Amino acid sequence: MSTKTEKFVEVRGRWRLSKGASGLVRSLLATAEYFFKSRPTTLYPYEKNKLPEAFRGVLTYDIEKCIGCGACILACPNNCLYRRSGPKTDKNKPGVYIAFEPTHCLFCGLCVDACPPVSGALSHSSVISIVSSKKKVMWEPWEWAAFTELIKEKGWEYDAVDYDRVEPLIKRKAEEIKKRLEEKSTGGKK
Amino acid sequence: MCGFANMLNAVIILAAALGSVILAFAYAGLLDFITIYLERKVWGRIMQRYGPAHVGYAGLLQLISDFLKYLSKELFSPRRVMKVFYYAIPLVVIAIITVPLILLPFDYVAISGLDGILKLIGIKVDLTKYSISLLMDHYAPGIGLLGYVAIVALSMPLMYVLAWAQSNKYSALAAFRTVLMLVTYEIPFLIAIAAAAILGGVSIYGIVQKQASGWFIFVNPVLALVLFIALLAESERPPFDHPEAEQEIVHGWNIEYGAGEFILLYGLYLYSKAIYAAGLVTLLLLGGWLGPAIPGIPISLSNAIWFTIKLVAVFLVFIWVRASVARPRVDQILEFGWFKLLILSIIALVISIALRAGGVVA
Repeated sequence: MSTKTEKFVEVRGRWRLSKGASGLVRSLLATAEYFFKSRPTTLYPYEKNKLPEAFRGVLTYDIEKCIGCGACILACPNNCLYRRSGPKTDKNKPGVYIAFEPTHCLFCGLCVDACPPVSGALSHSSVISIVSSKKKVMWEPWEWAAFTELIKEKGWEYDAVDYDRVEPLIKRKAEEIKKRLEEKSTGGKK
Repeated sequence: MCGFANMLNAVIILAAALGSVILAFAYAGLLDFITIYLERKVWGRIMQRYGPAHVGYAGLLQLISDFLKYLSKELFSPRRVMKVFYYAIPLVVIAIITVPLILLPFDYVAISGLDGILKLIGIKVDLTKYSISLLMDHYAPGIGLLGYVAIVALSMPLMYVLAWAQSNKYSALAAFRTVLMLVTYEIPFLIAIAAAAILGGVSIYGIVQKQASGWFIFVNPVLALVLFIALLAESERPPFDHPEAEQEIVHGWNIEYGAGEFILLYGLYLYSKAIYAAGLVTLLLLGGWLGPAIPGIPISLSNAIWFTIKLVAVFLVFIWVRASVARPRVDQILEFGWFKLLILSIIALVISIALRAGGVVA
């Protein structure tokens, strides 16, 4: 107890003007440094957040690259990926595409790992989530592809997407993509 | 006939002087707006925050919206306060703190700004000679500086009464601390003012004219240091905000007041004091409204612009110090005031006398 008080008195006695001045200058320099540093926070709804590179956002689907092997369907723990038949665009492709249920997805990324390197159709985007008033949103392959293409076009990166608002947009784009695929189609069901 | 002409002249001067007072009020309001906005923004920036960001462009109208919100609140008094003092003293404090607007040449700056704008649009009038502080300085040189010192010294005991009248333990502590600040920092402040007066004379206009050859901050840096610290303490800016000390005694000297008086006491009184402090630093150390002429602009308007720029720059340094330095203990404040700042101020006075007597400063 007594040693503590002695220490206190000693510290108080040692305070000098020169020491105070150097501390003052150091603290002034420190705050000046912080003034010119960039802020770690953003004004979120008005500015978009920067996310880490490995961020697992909403899945995207490149319909041109997909080879229809179905490895992702087997890998999915939530069973939110489905097989759909469609126009056969290439001799080596079976004409099988993947449908996706974004409201059911848990963003685990196992399907991305399972997707064979020759295809590489699946990847994570930087879209944080799909927000919808509906309980279930189901995307046919062309709608999913339309969403993928719209992310870049409309600048939805680093943001949540209000599905109720963008649904007609996606539907319209999906029609375009379907037409494009059918034009490319080699014909025949095989 | 001659007497009638003189009477007419006097009436014209009276009307113009009243106009200059109103202009000075408008100028002070503008400065209040700029400095409070800058304080919020810059301080936030230093703490890596944003500050006001949503009302108006980049939060520019935040102060006005706050002001309107505060005015809409209920007037409230606790049960056992002295009602007369409780309601009267804030008004007296505000009335007294507006006086330095014409003691320091704020009205001269405002009226020269108007004069410059009129000259810019082609109306040739000489309005600056009607500035009331210039007239006062002509007939009683030195009244500006002495009056300012007196007003600041008067405002502190009024703060004591104000804090005491609230019948609150915290405000009583704040009252004691107010008097402590007064007795500790008034003397170095007075000596620093005397040192400046020795360099440039008692008239503020004379001091500013004398700085055309060299600013006093370079002539006598010790004086600059002492005056800056003493003015920080006088205007109760952090780190000398002991009467307020939000972390210890929760806004101490105005703890019981509601929003209406809070905006009067905190927004107007304290910020007016801070603006006067920044203005005094500008006038005594940084050459006042003197500055290089801006091409295409009449000299009176450029005077107003330079004064405003310098004042805001000094206020930015105030904000910088506020963000950097923690509040010392009360005994450290006392020790610093009596054993360091007082000695420094005497050194500054001696240097001033030596410079003047040695003929370095004409």
